[in-house]
Amino acid sequence: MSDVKNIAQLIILVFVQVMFLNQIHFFGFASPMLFLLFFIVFPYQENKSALLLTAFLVGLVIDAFSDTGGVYAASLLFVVFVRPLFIRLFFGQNFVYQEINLFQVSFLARVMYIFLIAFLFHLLFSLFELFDFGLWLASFWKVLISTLFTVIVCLLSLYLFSSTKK
Amino acid sequence: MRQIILFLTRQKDFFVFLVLFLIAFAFTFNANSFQKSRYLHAANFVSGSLYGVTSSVSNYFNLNYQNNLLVDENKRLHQELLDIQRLKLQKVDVNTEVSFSTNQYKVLRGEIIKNSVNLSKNYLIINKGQKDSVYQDMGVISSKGIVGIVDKTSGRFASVQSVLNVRSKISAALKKTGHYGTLCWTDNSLNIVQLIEIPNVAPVKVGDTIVTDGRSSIFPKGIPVGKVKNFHLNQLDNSLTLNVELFTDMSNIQHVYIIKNREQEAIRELEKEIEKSIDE
Repeated sequence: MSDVKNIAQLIILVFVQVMFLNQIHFFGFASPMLFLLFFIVFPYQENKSALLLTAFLVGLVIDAFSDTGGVYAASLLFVVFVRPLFIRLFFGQNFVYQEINLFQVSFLARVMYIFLIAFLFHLLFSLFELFDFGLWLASFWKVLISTLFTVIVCLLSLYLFSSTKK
Repeated sequence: MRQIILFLTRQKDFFVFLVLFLIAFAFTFNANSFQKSRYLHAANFVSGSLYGVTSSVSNYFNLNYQNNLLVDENKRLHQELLDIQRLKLQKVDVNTEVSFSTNQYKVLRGEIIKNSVNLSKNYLIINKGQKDSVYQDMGVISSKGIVGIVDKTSGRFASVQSVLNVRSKISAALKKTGHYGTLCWTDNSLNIVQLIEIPNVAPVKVGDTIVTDGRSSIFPKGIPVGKVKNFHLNQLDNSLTLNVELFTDMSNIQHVYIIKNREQEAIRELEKEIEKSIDE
């Protein structure tokens, strides 16, 4: 049952991302990446391969819609691969074996966790997309502003849709 | 052997990650090469159809603005038509006034179904493809100025490399004096592109109009590009770099025209022959 729910969630998130959020450009460039939320709140599992494969496929679908080759897929894969580090950092060692509940930690930890994942994603995204180190450094502030918008949108949706579960 | 298998199973996640990451990387690297174009076509058919549906809904809310654009253009074209008729009456040879013969270029109309301006390699998708005889390297303009160059085509759709793409290189010139340079985009800001390699003797002023210069076979001569916002001298090679504000608002375009150059093939072949003779 939870699998069905997860898949439905993922399809809705990708659809919203591709059809609406990717058309939004704050200041002409910053698009919030709401689909990251799925990989932010997804419970930690000992077997990471399934989640990695999911990330890869989701990335490729969004890539196909945005004509970006494999940029989404590569950055999302990397983020999902290093995610356990962040979980350990913010939820402590013993949380690794439980479900992540973002509402069990302080507001600051919650925001920092989302911020770090979003920041890493946007950083890698701009690097893979540009493949030019000089230009990459120049677009650093773009990464930062995009990250802020992603964090805001993710936090808002988190509060909006999790309030009943809490 | 057993050790190796044990090692592999213990590190399974890492290897899954590595393999998928390399595949994604390969896609990224091949994003604009020939091998990729087949994969993109299939994707373009699916995503293109879906975008067609959503854009038909969102276009509805934009009708007023787009109508005004088209009315403005009609007004301008009427004006030009009247001017040409007046010239004809005065028995002036029209062909010397208009920079291209009427038969050389064919104009098709298209609609943008997907647009992006936030990436560093921006592409648009238009609802015209091979079925409407749209092929690679055709110029795309809006009612106000240039938009981009057709990149890949499928049956019903084509992707257009936007002017706002770090790969774009379009030759353009100052309208007043004809000094030419290369138009490119260094990923700075929306609707601002750079015209580089302008000789420093060119008398540039802020507000000067930039047009395409017809040196390439993609755009006809004299299509408006934008106006000079500011400029500076390059210390390295003593050339001017102009920041050009595009006439077209790239984040709000819907109707475009695709320009087909009937003589493009002939020009290409000639260029190839020249290259060959240089090699020999």
